[in-house]
Amino acid sequence: MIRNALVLGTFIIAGFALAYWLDHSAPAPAASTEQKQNIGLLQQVPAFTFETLDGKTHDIRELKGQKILLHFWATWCAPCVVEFPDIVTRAAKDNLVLIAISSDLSDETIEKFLEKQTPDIRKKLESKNILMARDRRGKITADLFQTYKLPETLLIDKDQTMRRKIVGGTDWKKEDL
Amino acid sequence: MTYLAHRLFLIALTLLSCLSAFTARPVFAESGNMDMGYFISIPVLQDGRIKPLDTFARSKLARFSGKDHLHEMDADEWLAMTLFDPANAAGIRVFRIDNENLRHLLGLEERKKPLYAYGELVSGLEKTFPTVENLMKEPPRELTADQKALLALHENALEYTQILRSFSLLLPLDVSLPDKWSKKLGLSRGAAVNYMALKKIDTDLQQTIKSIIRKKGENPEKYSAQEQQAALLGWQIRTIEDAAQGNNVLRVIPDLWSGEDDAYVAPWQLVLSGKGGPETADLLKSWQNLAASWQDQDNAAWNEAARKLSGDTPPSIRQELKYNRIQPFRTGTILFALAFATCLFLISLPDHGKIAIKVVLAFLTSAMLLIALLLEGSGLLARIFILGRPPVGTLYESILFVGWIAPLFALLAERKLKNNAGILIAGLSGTLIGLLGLSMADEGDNMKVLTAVLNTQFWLTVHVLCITIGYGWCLVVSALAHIILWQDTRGKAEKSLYDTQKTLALTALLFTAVGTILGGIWADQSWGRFWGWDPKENGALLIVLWLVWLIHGRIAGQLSEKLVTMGLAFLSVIVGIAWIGVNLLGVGLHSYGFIEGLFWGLGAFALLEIALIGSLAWKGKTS
Repeated sequence: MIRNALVLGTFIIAGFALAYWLDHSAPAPAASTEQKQNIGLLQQVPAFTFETLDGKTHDIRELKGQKILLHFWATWCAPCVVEFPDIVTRAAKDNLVLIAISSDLSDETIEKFLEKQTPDIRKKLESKNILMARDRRGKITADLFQTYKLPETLLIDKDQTMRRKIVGGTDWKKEDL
Repeated sequence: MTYLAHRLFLIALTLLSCLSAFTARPVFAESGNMDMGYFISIPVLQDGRIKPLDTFARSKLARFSGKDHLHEMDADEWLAMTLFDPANAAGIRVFRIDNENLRHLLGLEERKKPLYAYGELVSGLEKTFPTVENLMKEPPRELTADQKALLALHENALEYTQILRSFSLLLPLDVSLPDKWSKKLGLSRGAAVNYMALKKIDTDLQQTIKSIIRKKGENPEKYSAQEQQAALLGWQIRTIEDAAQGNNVLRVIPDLWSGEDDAYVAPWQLVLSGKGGPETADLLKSWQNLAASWQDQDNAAWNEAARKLSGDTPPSIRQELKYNRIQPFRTGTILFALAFATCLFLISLPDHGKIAIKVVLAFLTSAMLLIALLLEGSGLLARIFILGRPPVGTLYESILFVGWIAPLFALLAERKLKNNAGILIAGLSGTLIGLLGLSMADEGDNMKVLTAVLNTQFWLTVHVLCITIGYGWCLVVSALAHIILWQDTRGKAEKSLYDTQKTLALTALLFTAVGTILGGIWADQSWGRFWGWDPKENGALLIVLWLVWLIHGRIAGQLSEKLVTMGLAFLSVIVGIAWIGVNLLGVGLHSYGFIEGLFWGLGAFALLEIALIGSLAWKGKTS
C-alpha cells in the first residue's frame, strides 16, 4: 500500500514537473520592436554603379559616410510624380543624399519632367546631394533590388546598411527617417 | 534465467531499433533521377508555422486526394512537378470526388477510384462557378451535402491552381519575343524568356501598344504582324499578373523587410507587394535554377540549387522530416493491432501443451507492444520538440496522447493481473484509439499552432495532461470491465480482476476529478470564473459523477458487483461523450475539435456498447 502510494506520488510530482518544464520551454515571446528591426535587415547595400543624367558614373561605395535615400521612380508613375517635390525637399532639409533611379525609357523624358518643376525644386536639384539617374536595362531596379512596383525607397545608413524600405508613395513631410 | 535473458534481449533489440530509426542519417528520398533530400527540407511558412516542404507537400496532397501519396509518385515528387512542370502536372489525378451527384454534375466518368486530374475538372468548374457564387452567400448550415462538396471542390481547385502558378514568374513562357525586345533584354534570338524578364520591357511595351492603338484603333486585324506580336505580348503579361493576384500559398521567401524572423512570402507576393531586395534576388535565382534543373532532369544542378535554398536545416525541421518518414503513430497502430491479434491467438490456445509456441507468442506480443509504445512515445516527444509546446492542444493530439497512455496503463495493470488481460487491453486500446487518430489525421498537417490563450499557461498544461491521463485510465477500466463480463458468461470471472477494476476505477476518478478542478483553476485565471457550465466542463463532471455513483453505490451495498461492472464497462461511452461528443454541439468555449462526421460514429459506438454490455450481462452467470 505504501509502495503504491509512493509510486502514485512520484508519478504526480513527475507530471507536475513535466508540465512546468513544458510551460517554460514554450517559444520565447515575440521580439521587441527594436529587436525586430534588426533581424534580416541591416544588410550592407550591394555595390553598384549608376550613371547620372549629366553622364557621370558614380559608385554607391563612394557615398559611404552619408545617409542615402535610394529612390526608384518614373515619370509615368502617378504617385512618383506626386511625391517627387516632397522627397527632394526632405533630402535637402535633412542633408540626405538622394539617388533617384528612374525606369523611364529616355533621358529626355526625365529632363522635360524636371524642367516643369518649381524654381525652388529646380534649385535644390542642382545640389551635389541630388543624383538623378536612369536605369537603362532594369539592371539596378529589377535585377539587383527586385523592384517591380514604383515608387519604392530604401533608407541606407552612413555605414551603408539598408535600414528600411518604403513601398509606395508616402508623406515625405512627416515620414520618420 | 533463459526467460529473463530472452526478455532482456528483446527489450534491448526494441530499444536499439527505435533509437536507430530516430538517429539515422536522413535517407534521401529519390524521385526518378532526382535526389529529393535537400528539396524536402526547404523551409516554408504554412498555417503560422515554419515547416519543411515535405510536410507542405503531404498536407496539400492529403487535402486534395485524401492520402499523402499517390499510386504513381510520392507527395514530394508531385509537388516538384506541380511547381516546375505545371502543364504535365495538371494531368495527374489528384482530386478525389466521393460525391456521386457532384461527379455527374461535372460530367465526369465513373472510375473504380474516384480520382480526377485538374485538366478533367476545368470545364465542370467553369460551368458551376455561377452556382458557387450564389452558394457562398448562403449560411453554411443551410447547405446540403452536395452543395458543400461542390464548394469544397472549388476551394481545393483554387488552392491547387495557386500552387500550380507559384513560380509562373520564373518558368519559361511560350511566347515569341520580337527581335527588338530580345536585343533590349540582351537575349539571343529565340531564347526562352520568363515574366521577370518581360517585366523589364513592360513600360516600353505598353507605350508601343498605346501608340499602335492611337494610330490604328483597337481592332488587331488592322495591325501588322509585328504589331500583333507586341499586342499579344502585352496581353500575356497582364494575364499572368491577373492570375497571380492573391497567390500567397507557397511562402518560401523570407520577408527580410518585415523585421521578423518567421515572416515568409510567396514568390508572387514578393513581386506584387514590393517585398524584394538584393537577397531575395539571389533566392529567386536559385528557385529559377531549381525549376530549370527539374525540367532538364539534371540531378547535380538540382541538388546544388536545393542545397542553397534549404540552407542550414534547423533541428526542428530535421526532426519533422524524420517524423514524416517514420510515421510513428501509423506504425504504432499497426503494431498494436498485430500484438492484439497475437495475444488473442495465444489466449485461444488450449491450456495444456504447445509451451514453446506460447513462449514465442508471448515474446512477440510483448516486443510489438513495447516497440509500439516506444515509437508513439518518441512521436509525442518529437511533436513537443517540433512545436515547442505541450503535446495536448487539439482534439487530435488528445487522441494521440490517450492512444499512447491507455496501452501503457494497461501494461502496468498487467504487472498485477499476470493473466494477459492487460496485454489484450493494451493491444485493443492502442489499435482502436490509433485508428480513431488516423481517421482524423488525413485532413492535412496535424501539427497546429495554438492561439495564444491555449499555449503558454502552466495550469492549462497540467489540467489537460491530467484529464487526458484520466481518460486513459477510464478506457482501461472499461476494457477490463468488458473482459470481466465476458469471463462471467463462461462462469469463471476471476476475483483478482474485480480487485484490479476497483483500484483502476479509483485511479481514474482521482485523475479526472483533479483534472477537472485544475481546469477550473485555469478558467478562473483566464476567463475570470471557476465554473461556467460549459459543455466540456459538464462532460468532465459527468465522468466524475458516473465514477462516484458507481464506487459509492458499491461501497454502500446499493449496487451489485455486476451492475458496477456494467456501469464501468459503459464508461467508454461516457468518456466518448465527454471527450468528443460535446464538441459536436458546436457551442461553448471548448470548440477546438468540432467534427461533424464523428456524430454518427459516436452514435453507432454507443449503440454497439449498449448491445454488447447488455448481451454479455444477459448471458452472465452471476446476478
